[in-house]
Amino acid sequence: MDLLKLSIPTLAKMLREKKISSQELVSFYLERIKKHKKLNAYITVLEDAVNKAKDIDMKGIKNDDPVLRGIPYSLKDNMLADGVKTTCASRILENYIAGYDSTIAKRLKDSGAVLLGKTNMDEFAMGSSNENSHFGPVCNPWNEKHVAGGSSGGSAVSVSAGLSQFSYGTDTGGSVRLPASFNGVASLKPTYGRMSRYGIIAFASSLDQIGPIAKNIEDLAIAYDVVSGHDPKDSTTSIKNKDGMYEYLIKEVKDRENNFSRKTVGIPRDMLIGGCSKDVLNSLEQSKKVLTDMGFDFVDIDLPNSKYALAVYYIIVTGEASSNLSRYDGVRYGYRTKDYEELKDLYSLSRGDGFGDEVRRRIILGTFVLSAGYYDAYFSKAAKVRSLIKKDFEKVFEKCDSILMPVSPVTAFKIGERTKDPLEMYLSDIFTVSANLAAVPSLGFPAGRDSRGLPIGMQLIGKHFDEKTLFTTAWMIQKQKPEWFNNIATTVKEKKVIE
Amino acid sequence: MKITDELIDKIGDLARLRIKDSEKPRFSEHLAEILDYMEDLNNVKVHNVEPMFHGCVEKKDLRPDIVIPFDAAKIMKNAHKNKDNYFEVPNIINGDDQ
Repeated sequence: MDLLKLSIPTLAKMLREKKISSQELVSFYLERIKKHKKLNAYITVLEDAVNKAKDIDMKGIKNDDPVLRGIPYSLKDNMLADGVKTTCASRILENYIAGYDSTIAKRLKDSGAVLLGKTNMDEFAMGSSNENSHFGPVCNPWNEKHVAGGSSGGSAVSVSAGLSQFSYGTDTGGSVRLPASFNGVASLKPTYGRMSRYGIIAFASSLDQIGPIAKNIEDLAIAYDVVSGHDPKDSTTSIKNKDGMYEYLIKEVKDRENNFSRKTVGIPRDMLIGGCSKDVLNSLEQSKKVLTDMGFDFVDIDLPNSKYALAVYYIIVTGEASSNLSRYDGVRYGYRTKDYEELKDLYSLSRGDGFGDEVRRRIILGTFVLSAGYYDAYFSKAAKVRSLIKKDFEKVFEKCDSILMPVSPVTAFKIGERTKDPLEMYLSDIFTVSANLAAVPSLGFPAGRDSRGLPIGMQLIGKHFDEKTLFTTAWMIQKQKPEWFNNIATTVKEKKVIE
Repeated sequence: MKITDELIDKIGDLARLRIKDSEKPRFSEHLAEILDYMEDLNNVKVHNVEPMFHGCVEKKDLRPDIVIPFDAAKIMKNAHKNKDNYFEVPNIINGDDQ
């Protein structure tokens, strides 16, 4: 039996039938994490997880217990879990121990899921390749010379390399969808307001959303269900009722597979001209064909202001980050320089040495765009263009129910290939930032591999709070293309060695 | 846009962030390149457009302003020095911290 091929519902059933114990499952993953240490997916591994699992086994898993009880998962290292080191992959928080649970950690704890550890990431979630971590880059398990994608690279690799059943990252401008697409796994950037940001280390507060990562759509739905919904501790969370996505998929959609009401999908052709690799474009056509065969209609759409999205994004994101990161000053906690004479030096040297290059670059850029004399030309202007980008989406959604496009113009590039030129690295986010700016949801799904065997990812972007359409569509794609899902990179390679 | 060392110094000072002299040419070059890319926004007309400063698309729910007890001792474990659950910080008036 290949445990790595199994979905959460199957494992939950096996746990209830005592065909496997939580302890066996957790030990299995901890062993694999050790074996694949070279990928550098985890910053902190919780060996104690075995004892938590033992405890769960002893108390027993009943039929009406939450589906995740006893099932192992991982969290990006910018999410607080009480008593666990939380570094944000930065020297400045290298020894920081969380003193409380983030809402996401609390909800997962209450569900009985078992935390395996904290995953590697770009420092403060700033990066597209996961090469900006204080603890070194994360490798792509499909080809270790290639990047994992960022910033939630460790979370994506923990799923794609079979080092966790499911995981969570944060998506500010594509940081969940991009690494998931480079790794051949599914992901979701929910509507802004679906997920509580309480206990998440802030990067850009008007854009940050938590997103689940999983190897198939049913796992993704379950991972989404357990943590989403209103939280009094984060006033930006929506008071809308939760969807109960997994129940919806198995009860409502399953029975209506053949007469699912027709939906229209838009493709922004103009945006895709130039820059996209041939393999990525072919993959887009394949996804389109799968949906067309099931009766979906397609229309060409135009998002005229999306060509400005990247510029708008990097102004807003750096402005907000420069403000959010001002709390790290070396005075109360975190890295403090020993080499200072006066207070100002204490601040600027602690921050100068404690933050890595990319974080410092963004603080400088953000301070600049917010500074007197430049605020109107940059930050305020960007916020206005952001309004136009959001309006573009609202207009487009008058004639289609979702948008289909690639997550990235190319597949995972080589480690070191883009580190010398920050702007070239920023361009990796060109297809992902618009959804964050417009606050709309986007679901990333694996869509085959390129000629070099590297995964290709597509995304479905939807209306505000209409995750249902995205899940339904992706679920139907999975039914037609099961070979795109449940692929674990390391086992594919291990099998090859055996052959 | 030309980024001078003076501008880098000024921003570094505002951000309380040391940029070493040896790093300035690299930072200036990258900033100039990024800001040039952002010049594109000059082509967009935004007359009468309201800025979008947050991601919320619906009315906010406010909670009652009630104090919820918190285990301060746990948080204070991260302090460089702490005394009776207060941060003990370097002397900030004379710069004499010891």
